Amino acid sequence: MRRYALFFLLALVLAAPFVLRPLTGRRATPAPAEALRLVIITAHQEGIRREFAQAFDQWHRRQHGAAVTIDYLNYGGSDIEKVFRDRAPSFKVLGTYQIDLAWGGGDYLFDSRLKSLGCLEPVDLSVVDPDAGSPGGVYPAAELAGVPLYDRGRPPSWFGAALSSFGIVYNKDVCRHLQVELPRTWSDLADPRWDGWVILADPTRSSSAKQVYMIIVERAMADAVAQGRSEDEGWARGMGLIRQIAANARLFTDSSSVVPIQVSTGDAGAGMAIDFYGRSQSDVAGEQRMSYVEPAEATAITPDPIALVRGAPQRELAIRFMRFVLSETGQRLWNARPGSAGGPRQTSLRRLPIRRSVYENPAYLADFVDKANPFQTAGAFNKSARRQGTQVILGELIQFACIDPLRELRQTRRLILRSPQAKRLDAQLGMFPFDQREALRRARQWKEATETVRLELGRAWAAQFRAEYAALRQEAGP
Amino acid sequence: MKRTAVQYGLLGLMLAIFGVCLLWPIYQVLRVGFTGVDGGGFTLSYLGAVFQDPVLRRGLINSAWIAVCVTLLCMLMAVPLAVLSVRYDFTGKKLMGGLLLVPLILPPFVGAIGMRQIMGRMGALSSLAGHLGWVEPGTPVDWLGTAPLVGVVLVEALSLYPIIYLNVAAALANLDPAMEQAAANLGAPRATIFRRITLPLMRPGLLAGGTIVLIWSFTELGTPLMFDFTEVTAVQIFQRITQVSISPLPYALVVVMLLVSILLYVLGRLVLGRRHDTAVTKASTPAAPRQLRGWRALAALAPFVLVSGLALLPHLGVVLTSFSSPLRWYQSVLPSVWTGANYAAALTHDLALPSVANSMTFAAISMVIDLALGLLIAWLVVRSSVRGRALLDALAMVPLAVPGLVLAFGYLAISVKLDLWFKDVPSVRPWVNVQQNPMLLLVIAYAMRRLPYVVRSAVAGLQQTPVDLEMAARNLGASGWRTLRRITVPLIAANLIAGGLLAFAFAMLEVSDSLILAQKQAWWPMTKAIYELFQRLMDGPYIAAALGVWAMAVLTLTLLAANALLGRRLGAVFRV
Repeated sequence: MRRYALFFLLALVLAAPFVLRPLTGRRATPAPAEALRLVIITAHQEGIRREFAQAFDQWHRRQHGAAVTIDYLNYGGSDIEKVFRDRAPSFKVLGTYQIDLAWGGGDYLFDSRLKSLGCLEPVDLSVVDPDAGSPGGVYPAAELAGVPLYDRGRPPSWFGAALSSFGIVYNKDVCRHLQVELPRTWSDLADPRWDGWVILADPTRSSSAKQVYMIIVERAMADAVAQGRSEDEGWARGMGLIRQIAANARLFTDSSSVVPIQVSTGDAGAGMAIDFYGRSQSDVAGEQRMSYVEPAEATAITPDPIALVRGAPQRELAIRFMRFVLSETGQRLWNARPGSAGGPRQTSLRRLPIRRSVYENPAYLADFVDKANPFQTAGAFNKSARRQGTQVILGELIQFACIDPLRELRQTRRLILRSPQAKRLDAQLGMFPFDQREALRRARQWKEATETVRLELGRAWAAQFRAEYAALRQEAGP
Repeated sequence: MKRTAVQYGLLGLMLAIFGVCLLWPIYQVLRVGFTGVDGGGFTLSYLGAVFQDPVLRRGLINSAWIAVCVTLLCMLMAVPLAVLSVRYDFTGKKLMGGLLLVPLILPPFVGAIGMRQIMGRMGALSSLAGHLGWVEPGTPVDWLGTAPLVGVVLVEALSLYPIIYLNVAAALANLDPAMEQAAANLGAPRATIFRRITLPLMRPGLLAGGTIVLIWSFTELGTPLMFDFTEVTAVQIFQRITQVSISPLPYALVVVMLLVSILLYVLGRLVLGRRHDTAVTKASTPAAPRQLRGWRALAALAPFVLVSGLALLPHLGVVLTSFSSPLRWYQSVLPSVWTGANYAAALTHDLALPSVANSMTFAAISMVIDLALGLLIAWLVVRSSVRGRALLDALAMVPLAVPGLVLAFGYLAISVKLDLWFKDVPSVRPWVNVQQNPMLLLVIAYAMRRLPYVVRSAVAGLQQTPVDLEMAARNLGASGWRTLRRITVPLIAANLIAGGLLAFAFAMLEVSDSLILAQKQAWWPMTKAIYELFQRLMDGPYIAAALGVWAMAVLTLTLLAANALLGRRLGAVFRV
């Protein structure tokens, strides 16, 4: 008898969600069988994917009389590159990646990785922006504070669809416990009192994290030049600062969204975060507990692109989607309040639109959740392509210097700070053992190396850092 | 003659299936470990590089330590519990005995949601410590971070001990009491009887469970990930394989991990000594359990309560999280704001219900495949006399030793190859292209991964069923197929159903294959949906918890049903 009761209970539990679903009153509009399908590979979170899919479907039904469903391939930034690499052999044979669009993941991913892979199809600006060239177009200016809003190539391979910046999220209760001031800028995180409380993202697995590290280094280079020193030396200082921050790190995480999550639960005290991650999580946690700050003059506003993929099976439809995303209707979705006219249905997306004209319309602005206007606040920090030469190897350098030997690095800094020569030794740790010129040389070496050689190079570089830490520990004394 | 031809034909078919569905994906991954990504010649340099890298060496050492400590700890916990359970009767034994098995079923990262809330720096335990005055209220305590290896060992031991418990309990139950009675008659004290008679007779059960736990904890990915403890081989593989720069190093690491696992498996079989299909002396009369009362009954119940309580802590955490308002369980022992909204969101979320439906579909189909294949394999191994059935038996157990990641990436590589081979066959292509429709490969992956459970269950059933009835049917003129259908299957029905249920339940919450093979959202199984939600900001982890609770309910009921069907014989499913 008991046996049957168990089986019955099991069947009941299995069926429960399907039975209860209609009772919640919300019914998903079933996609009609003849709906067009678009395939988009994207790093965007679920809320963004859902809201844009619904809005585009609605828009497309009105404009073109046909429904559209979107099949998303959801990957983190670095994995997107991997997908294209993995499909390259079948692209050679079939002429298609079976993907229509690439969307989100940061401008570095599109500009330096996907573009050089040759998987993006350039299209004229006028194709995606009917108002191109006029003041009401998407990009009245091609750049913002030195940062291109769409690809410099003519025709462009990618187009900025939203704006992002980077900052620090921090937990105020932890700050109180550690008796530190609320962090304002990157170097605050190098304060030894943060030991074991910082959470960082792994730049080899998160392309947004790599951008943050690059900004820190560029800031240091700009500072060096302002103080009459060389950029190369500034580079070494910037990397050294990253090391000192890493010495406070509890761990390096694979996904950049984990940073604000762990800060909100108090498992970490501070970390580097993308603006919309930081803001939205702080919202839910409450200002009392958690906040997000953008380091003054040490952050950059960068575009988050969308691009047409070569050999797109639904090329025309893909271009329509790009036009939609860049249109005022699409752009308002990023920042408008859910439920407002022109806003998302359910989820607040907390992103900054890239289309200038939406900031100039008071009716739109009234509905925006974040009142910031990046076109007014930008200009504090100029990124420069010239300074980003090492970005291609930044991830690996941080991996060999900080991530793999994290335990030794942390131990080293602790010993250094306890020794009588703390100041001198910490300054040494805060300076990378080689400068930008050497780093560029190593970047070329890495690029040209086969995998066997890379293994050896990696081993050698890692050993060099380990030896450096051992020497510092020796000097620091028992 | 004909019968032997049929048997060899079936053997050949099974070996072919294993070749394509199991060995080929493993080969894909191994190939890179020995020849590199660019397909150079065979070389051991990548394997060498693994041992020369201090980070990877440390990972291997940590993994080995974890495996050994977990196994020993499991034995320490499981043996007394099994002895108490088999030898004595006391109030609450049945319930606690059932609860003891529940830890088997929770996938690690679902438990992570719960553990994080309870053992996080500002979590429930820290808050409790503040209330009790152990620390200043509001002080964060780093339970998980200070000695992550200890944490990993404890959590893994608390989730794997049921395997040893089941095996030892089964062995004890089958023990002929005559031997112990003889020893007692000769004047041996109880401790000596236990040490010299009971323990050695228990050894097969102990070591069978022990081998599985050893290999499982050596290759376990989810628990160290939960603790952000990355200096462990499985995590290092996972991290490196998903890195962009394609390096052969993780593949070489996989080879090393496989070799160690195979070594452990072989050692386990050797130490076990004789094979399972020789007759085991079953007790003519099973020893009657002694009734305990009063304080003795309580004393016997206590370890059950303690162990179950600790083991169910992550589960409890998940349940509480699912009822907590997002980010409202912070610096408090219990959530400060309760809500049912997470369940409503889980029901209406576009990710949730379709993924549940997907999981159920894939799991059901793979269960049917497993039952068919498992029965055939078990029959060949136990009843037939073909040469090579030991190989078949070993092959059927290989999925237990191979880390899920390895198979998953192997299937991915195969999908790419098949897509190219069938590029001109539009009817076949969608099925082999994992990007368009991963169902075929996911179902095969699930079926292969869970096959060992059904095989072991069916083998145990066949071993315990006398062959006489089948022989009588054959004598009366029934064909082999008819005998199988009308005699064998009904006799081992309980084993098959239980094995099938377990295969279904474990397939529902399969992690690695689901994470890697299901790419388009429409095809996501439940584990991928939970994983995605867990990394989502705001209310994501809480909706994931709600889904996790539902999954736990399904799996608990499945396990209880299997337990009700098999009772003590459930241990046979987890034997090597």
